[in-house]
Amino acid sequence: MSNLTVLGAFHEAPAQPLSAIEMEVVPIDLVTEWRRCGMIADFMADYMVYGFERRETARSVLSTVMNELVENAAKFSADARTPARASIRNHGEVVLLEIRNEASDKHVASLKELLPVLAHDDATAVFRQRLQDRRGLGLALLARDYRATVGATVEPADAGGKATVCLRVAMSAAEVEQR
Amino acid sequence: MKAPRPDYSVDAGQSPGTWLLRGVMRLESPEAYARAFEPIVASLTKLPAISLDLSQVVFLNSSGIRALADVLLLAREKRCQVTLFGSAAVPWQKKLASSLTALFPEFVMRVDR
Repeated sequence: MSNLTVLGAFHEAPAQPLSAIEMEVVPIDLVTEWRRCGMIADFMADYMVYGFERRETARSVLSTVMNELVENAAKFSADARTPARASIRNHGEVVLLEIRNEASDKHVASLKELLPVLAHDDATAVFRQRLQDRRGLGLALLARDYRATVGATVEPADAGGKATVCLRVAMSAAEVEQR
Repeated sequence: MKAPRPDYSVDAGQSPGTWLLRGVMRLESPEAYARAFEPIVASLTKLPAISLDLSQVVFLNSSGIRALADVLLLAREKRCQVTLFGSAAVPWQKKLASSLTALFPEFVMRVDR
């Protein structure tokens, strides 16, 4: 029986992707050289653009979104030496971007607060409120600017461990290409 | 060992209060952006109007958008008019223009150059 907790608008993946890339990253590498976050996002976006007609636009959008997720893992992993997994999956009409990592309790609590609100409220209002409250903007920005749905699953920790969070951003292919 | 060259630059333009930003701005923290935007912040406390040309910024992460919003909030407080220039060819810049219009209706962002 699964003990997964689903937060917000977690888009279930269709069967098999048309194209996909998955990479393992160690958060300590990202923290010690921050530009690696962007390097990974750019590489994954470059790899995936061949599935899109408007490649320059798709590269920019995919890299922007992936960078936010990789930066998220760099900032909020419970243990900077436990690898995180980043992936982009192109399912045709929908593209799923994901980061899976062991998250700090504080980050899990923050996602439990934000994601249900993002799933139900106007993303612009959420973005504005977080700007005023001086809280992180990344996920609200993705929801607002890229009409993305943002959700997560939280897998409870083993004894002594930390919860594993799978944070997933779903975007339409039309949004990736800005059609 | 020499520190790696930054991926971005923030340069003063030819006219006072004009700023040209270039490159990849994916800095790691609000403090890093505060350092990068320090000359811009200094200029808006001295001038009635400034402009920021973002059209050559390839990427700006959400921490950067937060930092830019902070600049605009300060400009509002100091009654300094800000004009931003962006490129319609860069997706995040078009999105930013839309966000800024919603949040800062008194400031203009032109995405046509």
